Amino acid sequence: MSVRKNNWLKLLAFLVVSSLLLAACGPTPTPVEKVVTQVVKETVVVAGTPMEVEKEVTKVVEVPVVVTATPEPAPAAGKTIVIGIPSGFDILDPTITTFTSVGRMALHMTDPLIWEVKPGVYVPGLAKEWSINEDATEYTFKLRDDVTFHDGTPFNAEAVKFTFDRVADPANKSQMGLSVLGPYSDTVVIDDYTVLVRFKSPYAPFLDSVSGPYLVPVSPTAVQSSGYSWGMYKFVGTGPFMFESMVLDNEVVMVRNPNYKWGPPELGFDGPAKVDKIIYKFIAEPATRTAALLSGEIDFVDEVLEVDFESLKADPAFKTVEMPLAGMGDALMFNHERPPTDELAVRKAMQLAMDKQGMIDTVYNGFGKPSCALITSTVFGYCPETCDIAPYNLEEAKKVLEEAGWVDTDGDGIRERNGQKLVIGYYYRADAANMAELGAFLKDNFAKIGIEVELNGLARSGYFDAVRSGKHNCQSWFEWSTDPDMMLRAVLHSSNIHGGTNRNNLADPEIDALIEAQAAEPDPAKRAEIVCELLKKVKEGAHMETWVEPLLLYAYDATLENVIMYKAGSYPYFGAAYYTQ
Amino acid sequence: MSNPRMSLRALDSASLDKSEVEPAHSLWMDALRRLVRNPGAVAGAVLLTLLILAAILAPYITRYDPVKMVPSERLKPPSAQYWLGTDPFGRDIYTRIVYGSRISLRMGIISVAIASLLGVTGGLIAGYVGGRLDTLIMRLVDITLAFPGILLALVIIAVLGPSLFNAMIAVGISASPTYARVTRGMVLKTKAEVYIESAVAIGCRPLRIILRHILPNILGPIVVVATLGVAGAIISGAALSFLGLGATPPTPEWGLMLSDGRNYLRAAWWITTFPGVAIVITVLSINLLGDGLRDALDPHMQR
Amino acid sequence: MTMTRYAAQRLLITIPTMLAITVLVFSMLQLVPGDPAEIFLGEHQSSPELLAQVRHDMGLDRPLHIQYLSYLWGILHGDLGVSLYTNQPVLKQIMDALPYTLELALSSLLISTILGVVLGVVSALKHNTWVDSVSMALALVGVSMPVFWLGLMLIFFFSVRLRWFPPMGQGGLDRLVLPALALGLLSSATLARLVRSSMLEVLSEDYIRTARAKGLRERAVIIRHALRNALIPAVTVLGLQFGGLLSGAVITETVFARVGLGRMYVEAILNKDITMVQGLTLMIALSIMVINLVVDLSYAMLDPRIRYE
Repeated sequence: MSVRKNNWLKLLAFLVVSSLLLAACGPTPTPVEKVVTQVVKETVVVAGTPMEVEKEVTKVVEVPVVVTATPEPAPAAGKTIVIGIPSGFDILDPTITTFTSVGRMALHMTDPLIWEVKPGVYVPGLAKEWSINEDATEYTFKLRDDVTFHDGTPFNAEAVKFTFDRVADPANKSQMGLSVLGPYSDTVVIDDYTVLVRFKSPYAPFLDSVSGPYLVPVSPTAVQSSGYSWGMYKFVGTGPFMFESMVLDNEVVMVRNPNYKWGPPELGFDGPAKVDKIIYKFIAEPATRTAALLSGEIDFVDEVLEVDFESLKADPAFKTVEMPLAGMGDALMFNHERPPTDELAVRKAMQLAMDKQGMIDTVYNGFGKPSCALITSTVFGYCPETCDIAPYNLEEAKKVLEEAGWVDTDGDGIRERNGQKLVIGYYYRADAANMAELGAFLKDNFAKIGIEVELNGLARSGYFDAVRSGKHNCQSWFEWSTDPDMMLRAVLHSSNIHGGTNRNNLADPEIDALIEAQAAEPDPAKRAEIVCELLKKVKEGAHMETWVEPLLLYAYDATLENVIMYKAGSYPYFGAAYYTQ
Repeated sequence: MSNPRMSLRALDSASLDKSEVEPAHSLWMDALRRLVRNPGAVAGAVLLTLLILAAILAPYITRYDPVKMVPSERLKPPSAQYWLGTDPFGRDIYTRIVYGSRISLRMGIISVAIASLLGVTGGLIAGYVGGRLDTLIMRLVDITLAFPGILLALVIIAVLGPSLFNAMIAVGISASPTYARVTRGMVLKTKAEVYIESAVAIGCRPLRIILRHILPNILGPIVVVATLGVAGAIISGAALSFLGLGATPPTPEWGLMLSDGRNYLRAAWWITTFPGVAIVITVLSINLLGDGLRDALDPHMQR
Repeated sequence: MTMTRYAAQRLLITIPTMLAITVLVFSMLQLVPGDPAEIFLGEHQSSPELLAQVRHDMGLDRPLHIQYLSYLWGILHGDLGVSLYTNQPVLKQIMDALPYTLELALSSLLISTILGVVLGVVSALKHNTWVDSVSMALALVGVSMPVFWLGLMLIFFFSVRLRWFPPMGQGGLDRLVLPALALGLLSSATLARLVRSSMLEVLSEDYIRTARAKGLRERAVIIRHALRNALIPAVTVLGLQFGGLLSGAVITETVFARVGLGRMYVEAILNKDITMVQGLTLMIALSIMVINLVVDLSYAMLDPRIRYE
């Protein structure tokens, strides 16, 4: 009896202690770090070129660099910037990663050789000066000699060569880095602080590549000595912030680099960074991201939920930024090898029937504008002439189908020809955000011209398997980039068909030739013309069509200043950001 | 042989395994009488009947199309025109909920059917035949239980591809071990009864014994577990939809509506509130009925 | 049989079970369509050579049985291998996330136990009164809510409106409250109903009547005699619920942006990251088995009538 009693008491004690523990954590309110007293809403002033934005989107501010107009108050020291990001990450090495999010984060721990402060305007980064040979096959960079990596080793020509060679080596499985490195041949160390980068064929987009976050020099010593820890528990670059810790798919913590003095004044640097820490937190749920900003848990939201944007915009405690995406908005790819999308009439009809405004109104909650070309208007080489080709026209779309023999003979709303129903297999990743909504819209959209869209939402693995083997008629595509080369090559060049990224499975020698020609053209004006010609050709052949030019939506603490919307907003940069209080 | 875990597991359904050795028909009549006297169970049954009626009569009690998009009518709050408001595609939420009841009820019932078919068969064989087969089946059940439910469902969906039907299969398979355990426990108990022994003695064939004598006796508890399982399956289906691996849009499945609408929690509360309420009411009524059944089938519970 | 021998026997039996699990997981993942190498390369440009290189590095160009055996060989040496997707050691990744999942699971278990037992006992004692109906209805509403919906509601109410708790992340008790609540409320309903019904049953037993007849105070009767016996089924489901909590954690971790095994598992399945899924399954299966063993052993503590056969 007594033994039993004893055990019983133990259990009771356990329950009591645990409930006490629980009670202890219950009523304690979290101190809210952010105290907002500033009521006046800051105006975001655009430095540099004015916007080449269409009239109907007057609220859109296209800014390569955002700086504030207010006289600079003393930066508050000892602060942390916490940033909520919408997508996960793999390895925290931008030269190897698959993820744009890694580029955004790692840019703070590194420096590109040169910075692009406005479209096409480059200023020195780790390289003091640079030159390009006539046919854009050789780039020479003169490097700064006063830069050290976070591990104390000097930055020099060897480090640049090491970084580029490492990206090019297939054994390292570089993704973003490799795709922007182009037809890389090798890097020659001329002297300690001069490198010559050579390409197998002309490669004009290299300055854009090298000013992005994917070809940033990393410490050779650290890479070689770290093994598996590299990019996970260790990362060594030259940037204003140093790697502190990372929890995979959850958070990355960086601390200020006190020795940093090579930041470009154009981005607001006058020495080391002005805050102590930057913390990135991956918050998959969009609603949780907004909640985290509202509750003061984070200071900056990347990808604000559209439906929350207006209320944040009206709230004096926050600043908001909306800028057009530089890249490729949601695009519809047509598999040219699978009936019925192998038929020009079907593709043409679908292109004409794309209710882009309807898509914006519903899926995008009114944010964005209908797109004209395959690339958005902020990408190099975009030309508005593409707007005149194949504008939205349902009647025309129906006519095209009828002329091709697709008619609804049995009255079920779906057209057929020779007993074959006009059914399009649309494949999408069911586990990715928004894709389901997009699919639902597509189905409704094409039903209007008698095309049935069969939605095939697959889990990631099944999806890649299906589209790489060409089971799809259509799939979606989305891309970030300020330069057209990588994007257009990926989805249009015949070298990427049958399992690669050209899921249009389009092999057109003329299009290939235009892609090669623009890459090889060092003169920007001439290059832009070639890109424009290419875009028009894609549109005329209904090879691939985008729905929208989406808006990038950011919101942040109103006391945070000098957040740079680097590369047309693709990489929000906090290197020289500070709090006014 | 029997392990304490197993015998205690039967307590899971603490009051379930008390099915009496009475002639089946009077047991059921008594149970029905007790059920009718339980206000909760009656309420549950009435609600459920209404839901089933709504599912059947869907086209007659709504004015709109559940999938057709009307962008001009998007995000309208509840009004006389749209009783429960409209969603971001301008679809009437009331209409979608009514049509969705077909899908969600089907989701619950079919996955439970799959689960009980697999589980009861396995449990019957394991319990009646015993020996190696018993060990094998119960090991399999142990292994399945070692995968937490939704993870097993995820693997199954990764194999089969996401769709409503595959979600039902996945939820069904991952729920089946519970049925196997309950059934086996009940069979072991029933097998020891005198009348089964005598049936064996007079030379009845095993299949006949299982179908005629054992099954009717263990049906009560299984019906209870299954009823409650329907509710669980609807919730699991919603969880799969949240992960994007359940029903395919634009299907008006409640879980999918709830999951798709979750970004509008602040901007348009009605998008998630009503499908959520629909799930709660359905699950609640099924659970009330299940509880009532449990009480009714257990003579010990009449107080 | 002594308790230790029983425990040893049970532990021994886990070995073939775990082995069977590795075979099962390995073969099931072979059925998942797609190639881990393709998924790794994702939407980026890739030549067939690169794809071949990645497959080779992942060891996927070897025959299946070799792949499995070499994996097994690794496990026997305590090496769970390297994740195909992140290229990091599986064990290290699991260990990084484990504490957070554990704290979530345990604290929600605690919440569900306290809530479940209190609700269950109260409604059993006030059987057939409005208290009973209300607490059972509450329990039912709790079990009828999808966890992501409940989670988002909690965030909006307690983080955004009241600002009591942070809406996300891990580390610190304050960050644990909302996710644990979201997860715990769900299982508390099951528990409450279970405790209620077994309590009702116990209260009608002869020994309770005897205790009352002896003139023991009602409180003593309930606490010393009734509750203890009524808790046995509750403890049983606790073991079972641990698995359920891990399932719920998959969604809770996403909604509350927490690190954890649940989300890791989903990602691993979606990426067809065979080594990672294997590692996680083994880990989870092992912990579920250990918990069930502990639960079974603890019966003796609650009910001395139980003997280990």
